[in-house]
Amino acid sequence: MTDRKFRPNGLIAAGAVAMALGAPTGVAAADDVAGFYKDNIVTAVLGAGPGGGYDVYARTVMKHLVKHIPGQPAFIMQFMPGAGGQKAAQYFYNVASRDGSKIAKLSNMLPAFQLLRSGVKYNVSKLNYIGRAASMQYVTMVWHTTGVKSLEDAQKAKNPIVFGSSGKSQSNYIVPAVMKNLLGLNVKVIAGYPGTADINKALEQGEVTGRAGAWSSWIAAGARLVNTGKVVAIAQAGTEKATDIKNGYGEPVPLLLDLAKNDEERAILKLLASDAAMGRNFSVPPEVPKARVTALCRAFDATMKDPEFLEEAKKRKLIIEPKPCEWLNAFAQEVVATPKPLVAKAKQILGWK
Amino acid sequence: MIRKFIKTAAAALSIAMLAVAVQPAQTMAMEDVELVVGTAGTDHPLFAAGNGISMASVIAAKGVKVYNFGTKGDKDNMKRISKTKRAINLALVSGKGLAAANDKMKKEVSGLIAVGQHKGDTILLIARNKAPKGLSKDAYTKALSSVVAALKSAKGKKFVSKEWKAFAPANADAAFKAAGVAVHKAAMM
Repeated sequence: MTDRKFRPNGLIAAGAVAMALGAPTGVAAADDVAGFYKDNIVTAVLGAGPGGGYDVYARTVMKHLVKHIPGQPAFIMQFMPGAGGQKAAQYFYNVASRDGSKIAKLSNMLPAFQLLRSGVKYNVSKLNYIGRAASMQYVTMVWHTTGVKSLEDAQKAKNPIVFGSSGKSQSNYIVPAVMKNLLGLNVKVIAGYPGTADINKALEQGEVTGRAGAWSSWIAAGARLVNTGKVVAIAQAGTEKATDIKNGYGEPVPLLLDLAKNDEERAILKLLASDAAMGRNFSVPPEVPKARVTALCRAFDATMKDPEFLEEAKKRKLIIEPKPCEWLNAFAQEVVATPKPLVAKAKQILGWK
Repeated sequence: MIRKFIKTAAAALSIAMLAVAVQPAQTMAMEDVELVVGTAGTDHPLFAAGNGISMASVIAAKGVKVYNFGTKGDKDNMKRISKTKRAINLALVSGKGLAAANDKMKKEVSGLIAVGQHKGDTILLIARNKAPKGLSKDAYTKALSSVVAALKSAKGKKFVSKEWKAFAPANADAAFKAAGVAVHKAAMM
């Protein structure tokens, strides 16, 4: 009883002291955030059209995220495909309101694109990332008849591994380009396939003998090829090694990052593999009030542990490998701080101007 | 013996009635139908209108949410709404754009309402005839009707007008007829 009576008094006293000092209390700050979100509809901006991986991740995360945001706002989705996600990124950075009512799931390539592409109208280091739901580990697979069962086999291969790609700005081009031009593997790239399904078809028809793709895509759209042993994993591109991906000898598949011969190569590989680590990320524009950004970060963390969210993700076969906003913002800053001479070398490796 | 039988039957009936009574609660817990509306480029007024329609659906429609898809406009919308895979469910098109579409495309869609004027042409809201995967035709019609009602409601009008000042929902049977497109059942409910 004494304790019960003491608590409110203690709170009033603490509040009075805080008010006297002119500092906002945690409770008051939380109330402001809740008040804002209660009266607003959150818009989730997507740099892609409906129906794909971006959409499934975004809808699933948003549905549960709003339950954890103070004020529990409703949400709508805004699909904004175009220019490999650049259109949405530029809109989000330059036009979207900076009050915390807009949350985006933008391209995981943004930090790398900021350095490697010209005409970019955003600065990743000013974006506020609120969390990552999963990495986008890229796995290099080769067709079983090539006889290549591991990266060592690929390094010794006399015949080139021919990779199918959908375009020079895509990871299915970047990964084999790195294998060829930085690590010296006998690799060729045929670009111009409309999408993943078309490259898989080309693999089956013998047009190409390899494809680099997100692990989540291999185990979903490419599951038949993986489960029947038609394709063999030889390398993974990213910064975090997945130990459950095995090569043709049943050994864990190595990270391309681990093949770097020196710090310079390692920095270039890290820049070019940064998209895998950025993964399925969510952000809010620059200049959003700090209390709202913090609330969104904590809401995101809570969502990633929410049993209902995890159950739905499992049902939808979504890989969940969360990282908090602090980790993601630090990683993005590190990527955009890559020294200019190394960026120039990375461009050379990719054949980009 | 008879008393025991009556008691058992009464208990069974109570359980059955309770089960029926629980049904509406289960229906209420069902997830909202999610529809996608094709609008126009992100710098076009119809993209802003799409945001308003999305917001109006969240606030004023029952059991349905509409999401905004920034497309390349009339032609792109007609192409996407008549696609076999990953099609959009709704689209904003100009009267001229709808009339110019080919007959095959027109057969795939029906008209809902007019939403306003842009550059001297009436902007129409049309719907794909085919229900999204996993949704019955009736449930789809009900969802579309709920969207139309939300857009005509005072609350809905307020939200869309905030984003697009020219918003003026109205029946457009004549405009659809002129464009060679049938009016959807949902527009008449």
